[in-house]
Amino acid sequence: MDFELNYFFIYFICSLLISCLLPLLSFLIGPRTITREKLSAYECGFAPFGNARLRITVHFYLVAILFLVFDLEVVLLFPWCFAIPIIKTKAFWLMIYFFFILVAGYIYEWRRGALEW
Amino acid sequence: MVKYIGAFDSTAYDLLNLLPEIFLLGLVIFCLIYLSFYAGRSFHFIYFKVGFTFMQLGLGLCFLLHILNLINWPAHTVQIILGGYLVCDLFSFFIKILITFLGLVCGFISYTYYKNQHTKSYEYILLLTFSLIGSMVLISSYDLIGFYLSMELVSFCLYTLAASRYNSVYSVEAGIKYFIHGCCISGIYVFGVALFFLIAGTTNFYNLHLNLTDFFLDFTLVQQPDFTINFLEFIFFSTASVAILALPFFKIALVPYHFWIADVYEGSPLPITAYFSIVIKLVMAASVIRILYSLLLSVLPILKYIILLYALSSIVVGVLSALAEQKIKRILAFSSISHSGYILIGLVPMKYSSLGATINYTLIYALTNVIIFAFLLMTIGAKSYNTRRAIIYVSDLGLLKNTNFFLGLCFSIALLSFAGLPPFAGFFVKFYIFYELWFAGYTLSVIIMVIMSLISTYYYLRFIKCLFFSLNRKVVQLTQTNFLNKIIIILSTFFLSFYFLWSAYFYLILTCVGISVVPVHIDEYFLWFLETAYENNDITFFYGFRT
Repeated sequence: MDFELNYFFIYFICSLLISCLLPLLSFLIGPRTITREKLSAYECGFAPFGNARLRITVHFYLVAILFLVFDLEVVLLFPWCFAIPIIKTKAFWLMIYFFFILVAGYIYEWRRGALEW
Repeated sequence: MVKYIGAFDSTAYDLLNLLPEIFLLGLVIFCLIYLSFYAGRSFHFIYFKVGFTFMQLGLGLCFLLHILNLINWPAHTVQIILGGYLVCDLFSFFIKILITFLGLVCGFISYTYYKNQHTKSYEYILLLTFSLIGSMVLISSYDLIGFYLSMELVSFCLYTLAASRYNSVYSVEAGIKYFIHGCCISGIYVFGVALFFLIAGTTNFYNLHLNLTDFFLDFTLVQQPDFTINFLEFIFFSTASVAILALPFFKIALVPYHFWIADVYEGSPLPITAYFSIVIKLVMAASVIRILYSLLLSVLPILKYIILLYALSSIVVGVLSALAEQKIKRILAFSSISHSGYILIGLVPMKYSSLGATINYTLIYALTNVIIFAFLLMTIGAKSYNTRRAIIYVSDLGLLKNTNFFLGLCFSIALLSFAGLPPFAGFFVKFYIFYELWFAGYTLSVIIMVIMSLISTYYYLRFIKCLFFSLNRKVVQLTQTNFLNKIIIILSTFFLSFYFLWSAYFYLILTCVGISVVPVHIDEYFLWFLETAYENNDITFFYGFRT
């Protein structure tokens, strides 16, 4: 078995240590003076009003999810770029095929009215 | 002897084997675009009908294409196609034929329900077809990544379909529960894949097999296993195997992963429950057979004791938890847990004949479910005369013999077949599995299974008691009896009742089908395959970690 993953292990341990250490240090060393102003809710410029938990229409989530789908294709495109020397012309046609399906989904959601308010 | 032909390079001939899937995918995408232009933003039953017609026609054609593929296929030949991602063998063609056929039947028996419910979105039927395409790819996938992707294609459709009756809280609960549990299990599976990649440097079944048999040569060939040889790999391999098995075992609902099934069966709409237990069960059983026999058990046979544990515990838990249930769907869900235990336990003896027995059991299980759900889907318009509510509990089916005697009889035959009573098919398939296990030396397991099988007759007989010998005067009548459903019920009941005439033939044929799953270690084709694999540029990419 290969043990080149040891480096990753050390890296992982170090990152864990550092990420634990930094909040701990700021917690221990940082100056803390608790005043009334500091404990009260803060909103920029004026006195806080209303509830922070508002009702949001489901369209926001819908748009966010649709955005996510089309954003995630980039995740596929990057390894595709690196794999082109290995899988050659097949890669090109596979990506064309992938985009065809993606565009079909896009047309569907447009016609179905998912992008309208 | 299994011949391996082909290499990790796709040709036009490869794509010919995939023609049914490609055709169906093209049809679904065409239908999606066409209906989105035709329907626009409106929801109406007519668009559903159009989509339904398209999909049933496409599935029918797909069924014929699969049969053509099977007829043209040279027996006992295994071809690895599309860069090692998919495999074509007798087993995959056979299961694909079965699932397209059962998918068609599932669509037909559900049509009454759709019509009565005025199902408004055509996406419903397109999602069903997408999940069928995913299952076809899943059956023939020969790579851990491909297996995962096709499993996700099936699962995502099912998450959506389980929650498709969005105005019902139960349905949404079912969808969300299934989704969250499924995601967790997928994460565990991917962890297992990573471990496999660590020890073998590949995710392809064939290459994994080649690489790992070196590690466990002493485990496979010597009777007394020596755990000191490659101890770390042994630990990694067993961990990875259990992690990988979690995904198909979750989908088929075996015991440590069975918690979702009752809620999902109960919450999701009735056609989807039917689809779960007719098609998805068969697909997942086939994927379990594929992953165990072409990869895990053939590399490390010791794993069979873990499999035995899974199977026995799911039989016991499934039977005992169904005893107290009152709702029809929940009883069917818990009984399906025990049935998947029977399906899995047939894989333990690791013989061709026991594999045949398992495939036989799966097939008869699916067929019995066709009868049961074709019956239940007709109860949608029915109301008990006294209670005026939909049929949910077992007691709601009171005294059906007075109104629909013949349907009640067919339903009872299906239940007796589930229980494993002698003249019906369920007895014979169960008997094959008991026989195989008994003569492989698992006598204690057989005794436990027989006892559990006896206990399980209680809740099947309770249905029959309600149908024929109920004491209260609540009489139910099925008002929406559909001709097609009746025909399907009668044909399936006929098959189950006279199965014993052909059972030996079935056993033989399915054993022959099962042979093609098991890889052969040393073969002249094996050496030829290795040479071509190293010459090919594509394969060095997969072998990168080893060389």
